[in-house]
Parts: sequence; structure tokens; C-alpha cells
Amino acid sequence: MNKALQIALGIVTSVGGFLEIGSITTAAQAGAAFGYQLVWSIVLGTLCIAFLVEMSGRFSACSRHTIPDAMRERFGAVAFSIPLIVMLAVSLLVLGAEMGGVAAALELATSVKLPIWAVPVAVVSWGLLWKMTFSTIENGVSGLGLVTLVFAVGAVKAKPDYSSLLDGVLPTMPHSSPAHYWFVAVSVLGASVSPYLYYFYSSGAIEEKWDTSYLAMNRAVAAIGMSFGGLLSVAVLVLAAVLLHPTGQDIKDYHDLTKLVTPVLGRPGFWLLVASLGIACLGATLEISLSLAYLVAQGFGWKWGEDLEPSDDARFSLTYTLLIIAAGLFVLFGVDPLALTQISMALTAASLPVGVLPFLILMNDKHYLGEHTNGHIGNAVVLLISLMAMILAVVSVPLELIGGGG
Amino acid sequence: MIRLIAEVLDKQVVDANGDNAGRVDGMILEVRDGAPPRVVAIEVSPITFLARFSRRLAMWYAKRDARLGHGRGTPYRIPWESIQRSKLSVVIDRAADDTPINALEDWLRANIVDRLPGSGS
Amino acid sequence: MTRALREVHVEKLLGRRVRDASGRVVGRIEEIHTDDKGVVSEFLLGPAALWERLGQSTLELPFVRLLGLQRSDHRVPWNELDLSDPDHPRTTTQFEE
Repeated sequence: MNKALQIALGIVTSVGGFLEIGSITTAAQAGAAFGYQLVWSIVLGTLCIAFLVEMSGRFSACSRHTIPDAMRERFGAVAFSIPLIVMLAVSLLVLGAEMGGVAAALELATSVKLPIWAVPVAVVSWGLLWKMTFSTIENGVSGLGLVTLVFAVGAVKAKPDYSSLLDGVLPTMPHSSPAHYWFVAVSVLGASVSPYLYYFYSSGAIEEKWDTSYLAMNRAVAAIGMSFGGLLSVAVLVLAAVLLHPTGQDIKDYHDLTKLVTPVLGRPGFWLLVASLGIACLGATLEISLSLAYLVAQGFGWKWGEDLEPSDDARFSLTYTLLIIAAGLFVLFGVDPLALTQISMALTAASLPVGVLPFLILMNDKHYLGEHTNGHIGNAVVLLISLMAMILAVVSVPLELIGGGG
Repeated sequence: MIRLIAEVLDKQVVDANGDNAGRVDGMILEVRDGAPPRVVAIEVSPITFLARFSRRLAMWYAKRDARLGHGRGTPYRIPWESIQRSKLSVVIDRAADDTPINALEDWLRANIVDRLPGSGS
Repeated sequence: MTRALREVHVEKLLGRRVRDASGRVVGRIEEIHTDDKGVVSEFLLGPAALWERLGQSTLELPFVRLLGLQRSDHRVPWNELDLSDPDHPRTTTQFEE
């Protein structure tokens, strides 16, 4: 397959796989509560993850290490265990939210209650990981994920105020409910900059045997793919801004998500939303499970690889199995996916520096990257946005809890 | 010149068949009077790994591991002469399946993974 | 007379505070240099503190220099480090700044 085709495929995968329950709900809540004012948070979050994804691909292509492998090697057992434990804990919550998202889509489609879907969702997710290869999962599910383009179509049909939309690209101070404003901004950042994503990406690069000849392609896919993905998030915000904000409605429940599409796209819109939510969250479920299994297996030096048969990497396979079972418990016990999403997005934002700082140290290490170490801009963008996310999270979450949710 | 911490400790271990076989969890220095200390072995073992956090945790694991069979319960050592260093990993001269390194992997495969459908056994 | 033989774990030495003959702290063990046969030639001490592994190359990172952290690599030849008590290594000489 020539490079142009690979770039196209990479972009398709990035766009189709971009949205998941976190980015959908936080963008919707941002639009519903504050109109176009919080577009900047999506822009900043997308910028940060685009840089991180490019760095991740470059790191693995140059060093032939995955990020967890290099982290254990470079920082040692004790220091490595800190990001390991933090990421496992936070990502497990996100995984629970994503599986809840799939179950929510199924409930919307069938009216069969959420907890009943816990076991089917877990079994299907597990089955796909057990039997499929890496590229089938990545390309297949993300390809199907292009159904999320329905949000872009809907946003255009909703005839938004484009000049107000552009105004929202620049950060502004809130006119009202400041605690809630910053809390939603932090949630958006936590949803956009998912550590499991760029850690996963580095293992993917090794699974696909990248070398330095892939660097240009990696840059193109990260820049274009993440940008278009970010535009999809903006589309969700626009739908909420046009359809919910004027009447003061909010997304309080996943059933409210249908209000984003049915007014502009009618009954077909409803089904496309259900498909979007289900497929997007299924993709995220598979990615997070794999990402965490990679993290553990590589940190301890086990055999790993999605292209291997489970029999050949028993500990790796059982790790993602256990993770799916653990996260599925949230759905089984009827935990509200929206509430779990909000908590896990805030925690992701608050813990961003824990995963990012060691990664930035690696990205500046000539031993791994030779002449391809980070430039000043990349370092600055990622460092500043991560620190900002953490500070905002630490400040705004308690205020939001005290204020009772604006 | 070899830098033990940067180039050996915590590095990926690969066995004679090219398969992953854990990581260098520890290294043993032999300290002698009147002669320079010498690295005699690397250790690949969860016991050694845990000992870097807490001796108590390591001993707890060692006791449970010892119950699994004869010769278990102590960290597995590979003599320094038996290893070769490459850029990406430390290569040992034996197959991991012939060592306790894969004991848990083998047990899980036999008792759980291969009993599930589609595992490719 | 038999030579005293002791086993010391390298990973336990990492980060250990080293004092000189008068009890002053010289630094923490950051690295151990050996030849191909594993015979130790010297120990590298540094300010490593709680980031035992970050020592050397982290100080080469652009933004760390801004924090004003100094690199210091005191090289201690093998015969000048007393490991009779591995938890409390000591240099056999007086350390000079």
C-alpha cells in the first residue's frame, strides 16, 4: 500500500475513532450551557492531543520502543509504577463510561434497560479483542465510526451563527456561572487529551512495524486526522448551541442526546445518533482495554501483541479480559454513564501531567530519538496545556461540587 | 564501558527464541575485599521487582510463590556470562519456557486461556 | 585467609546516599560503570534525590536547566567506595568540593 493511501487510511481512522462518550457529552454540555463560548476548549484540547499523537508515533518509529517499555527502562520500576497506577485507575473509570455508552445506545435503540446490556457489551468487546487482529480492529471499527459524521451534517443543517462560532475560538471569561464554565472547560480538555490514546498509538506503531520512513506520514495523519476529529466535536457543540442553548435546556441524561439530532435530521437522525454513540463507544472500549493491557504487559516485559493468538500471550490477553469485566461492573450495577463520564473526564484532566511529564522527558532524550527530539514549540504547547488542565481541574471541580452543578 | 543503571537495569529480557521473557528486575554485585565489585547475575522475578518497593511485599509474594512448587519462592538468576546486550534488550541463552520466568504465563494458558473458545491453542 | 564475599543488589544501591569519611553527604549513587566482564570501575554520584533515574540525561533537557538545577557528577573509583554496609555506602576519602 503506498504512502498516500496509508495517510488517507490513517486520517479516516483518526476521524472515525475520534468521538466517544466523553467528547460527545462534554461538547454537548458546553454548547447547551454556554453557546459558542467554549469552542476554545475544544481547540486547545485538540491541539494538545494532535501534538501528543504525533510525538507518540515519532517516538516509536525512531526508538523502536513503545512508551510504556521506554518508561520502565528509563525511569525504573518504582518511578514507573506511579503513572502505571494512576493511568490504570483513571482509565478504568473511562472504560466503564464507554461501555456504559454502548449500553446506552442499545437502550435508546431497544428500550431494554441499560444494566441488561452489561454482559452482552462485555462479551462482544472481549470477543472482538480475543479474535481480531490489530489492523482489523483499528481500521474496521474506526471505519464504521465515520457514521459520527452525522454530527457534522446536522451542524451545517442547523444553520449556526458562524461569526459567533469563530468568536468562540478565542478564550473569553464567562458571563455567568463561572464555576460551571471552568468545570465544563476542564471536562472538555479531559475528554480531548486522553492519555490512553497516545500511549495506545505508540503500541500501534510498533504493531505496524513503523520506522523513520513513516515520520512524514505520521505528522500528516496527526495534524489532519486530529483536526477533522476536533471539528466533529465542534459540530456536536454547535448542535447543542443552536438547539438547546436558546431554550436553556441541558444534557442531564443520555436520552437528551437525541435532542441534538432529531430536530434537524428527523427519525433517520435518531438512528444515526444511536449508531454513532454505540460504534464510537465500542471503538473507545476496545482501544482503552488494549491500551491498558499494553501498559501492564510492556511494563513487566511480558509477551504482548494483538496480532498474536491469546494462547501465545496469556497474561496480556487475560489483562484486557479482567479490565473489561471490572469496567463492565459499572454498567451492571446501573451506574449512570453520564455521571461516570463527568467524573472520569475531570480526573483525566487533573492527572494529565502524571502521564505527560515523563513522556516529554522521553521525547527530549537523544538516546531514544536521535536527531528527532522535540522542538521547543511542541514541548511548550503540551506542557502548558497539561498544566493548565490540571490547575483548572483542581480549582474548578471542588467549586462545581459545592455549587451543585451550576 | 557499561552503564549498569542506564543500559541494563529494567531492560527488556529476550530469550534464545526471540520471545519476551520479563525485564531485568535486579542485578547482583559480588563485593570482595581488595578487589573491584563484579556483576555476577541478573534477576528476573516479581519478588525482586516487589523488593524495590517493600521488603515485606516481596517476602509475602515469595511465600505464596514457594507453595507453587519445588525450587520456587526465590528470584530466578541468570549468570552475567550467559547474557548478551543488544540495543533494545538483554538476550539470554535459554528459552523462557525452560525457566520459572514463564511459570505464571504457562499456568494461565493451560488452566484458563486454552479452556476458552477461540484461543488458538 | 578467605576473602570476604558479599552480595549486594545493584537496584538497592541506586539512589543511596553516600557520605564521606567525615560524615558529610557527597551525593546519591546514580550510575555504576563496569567493563564488559561486569567488573566495576567507578560509581557516579549526583544530586538525584527522589528522582534516582532522572539524574544524568534529564539535566540535558532544555526546560530543566531553567529550573536552575546543576549537574554534578562525582566519580568515585571502586576502591574508594566502602560497601561493607550496603545501606550506608561511604567514600574512603575526604570529599572536596
